[in-house]
Amino acid sequence: MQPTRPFEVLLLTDFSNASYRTIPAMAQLADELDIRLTLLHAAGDSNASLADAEAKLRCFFPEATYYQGTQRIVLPTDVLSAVKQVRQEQPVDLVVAPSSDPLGLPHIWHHSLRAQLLAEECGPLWTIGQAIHSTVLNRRTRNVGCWIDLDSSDKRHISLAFTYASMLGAKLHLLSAMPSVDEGTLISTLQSDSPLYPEGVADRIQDLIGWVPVKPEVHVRSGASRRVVPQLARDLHLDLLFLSKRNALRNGWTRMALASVVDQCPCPVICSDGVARHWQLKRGSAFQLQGAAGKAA
Amino acid sequence: MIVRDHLPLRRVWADISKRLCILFLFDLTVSLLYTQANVKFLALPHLPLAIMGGALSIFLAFRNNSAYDRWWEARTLWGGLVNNARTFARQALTLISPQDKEGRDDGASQDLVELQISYIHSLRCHLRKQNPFPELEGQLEPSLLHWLRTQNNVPAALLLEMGKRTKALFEAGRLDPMRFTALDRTLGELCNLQGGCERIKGTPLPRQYEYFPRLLVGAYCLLLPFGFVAGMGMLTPLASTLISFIFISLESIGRDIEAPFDNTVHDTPMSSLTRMIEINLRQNLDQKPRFGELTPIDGFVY
Repeated sequence: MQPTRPFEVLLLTDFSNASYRTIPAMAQLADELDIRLTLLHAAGDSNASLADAEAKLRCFFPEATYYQGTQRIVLPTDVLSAVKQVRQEQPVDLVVAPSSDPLGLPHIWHHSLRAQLLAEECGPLWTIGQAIHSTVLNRRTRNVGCWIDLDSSDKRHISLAFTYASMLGAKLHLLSAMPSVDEGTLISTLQSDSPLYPEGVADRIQDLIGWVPVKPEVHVRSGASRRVVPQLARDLHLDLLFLSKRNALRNGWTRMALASVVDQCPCPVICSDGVARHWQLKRGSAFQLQGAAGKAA
Repeated sequence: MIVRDHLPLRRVWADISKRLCILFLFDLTVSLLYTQANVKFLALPHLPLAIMGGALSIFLAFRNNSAYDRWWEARTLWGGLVNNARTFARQALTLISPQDKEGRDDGASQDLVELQISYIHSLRCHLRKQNPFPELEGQLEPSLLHWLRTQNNVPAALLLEMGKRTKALFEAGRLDPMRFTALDRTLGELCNLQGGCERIKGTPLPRQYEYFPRLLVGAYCLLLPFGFVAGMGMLTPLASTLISFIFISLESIGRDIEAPFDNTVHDTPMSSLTRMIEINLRQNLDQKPRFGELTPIDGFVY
């Protein structure tokens, strides 16, 4: 049996409002799990600002100083390289990166850092959108959701969702969106072998997960997933939603971008890239699914 | 809290950009219709708009004053908390006899000061609706932590704990009635200050103060180009958008400062104040503070 170690969380900060908004969520996470927090600020290439950046980082999230083993790292490089460097030096179970502060102008050439982190497989990514309500960030995790896309081969996030929910004693909700069957959308269903009725989708999901110690609730709704998933998350009062990398990313104009469902979700989202298959969390160890999703993982 | 001399426009712009852009497009449409399509009935007389602008300014000033009162009261209450935390620590260290019945120093005074530090931190978390337990875990004994987890109001429970311990010291003869009363009065003052903060946190400005300024500013900004277009022609969008910017900014300032305990840049700097109190109290205990004071980040103190 693997020895348990603290859950390693890497919190990226640029000292923006959005970074500050993650603080209550991190405090909640620190209370629920045995975490070790690493605060990382990538100061860019300018050496002159390094001392200044270190001073700023010392004053950011001062509460974290009281948490066991918190460390603060400033690296004189870009964010992506900084994350990769930290990952080489220590285990990272979760990368925390909120959305950037709104600019108030359309930024067509913006390259989403979160999309890059996911595309480069830098570890499961915890993120929040701009519209999230602050009360969601400091409540105990009681309802964990996991979006299952039956047409996608990427099912590794389901294992993480089961592990997370079972370790926290939270209720797990498996969400799935079924295409609306009307004349206008029949073409999309031709490319899919998923059932087009709720019971069929629920059965497929059951086959996928196999036997599990915690019985999840399955919720199926018809409609476009970018609308159905945030709606379900709102109706079910989800505290956290797991997405696969494939569902969290979309092809932008010039490069990969984050899917709108991530920013529209009313709760924090963990986008899994499948790197951390076995999270070692407090009060137990990870388990693997027995069904098809387990085999895929 | 913002301590820099100038407010970066980027911070304000993000909040108001959408409304301003829509208004600019609207103003441009009105100007084009008037000057190019010759729709002359779009022009309105100046006078009603000037009167409405004056009335709206008074309304906004009144609302912003109310929001500022809340912000300033929050800061004043925290000033009181700083003073009373120091007073309680001084009283605990100077009024309580350090020896127990056997003549040993059991550190009861020091424990009370440690509880005071935990109280201040838990109050900050309570007002920001943040989980205080990861911070308190290293500072309090497990049995007390276990009991605190059953309490909805952790800082109030810590005040109760301090009160119980003070009473036990009084019953053990280590405090005379006068000194016990002085300590209890300080605890009562802390409780009042906490209640004041909770009142501000729990009672928002009347929603009419939020809704009507927003509605009226929106309506006024939409009417502006009709008043300007006859005199200014195609320059109307510039003038109208600039005046809209002033009104929308004023309206946005009031909204920003009306909630001083919401963990934003407009907040009362509770992280900085609690850190300062902890450093002061640990120095009173002859302990070397583990951390330095918090300095502003990019001109913002949290």
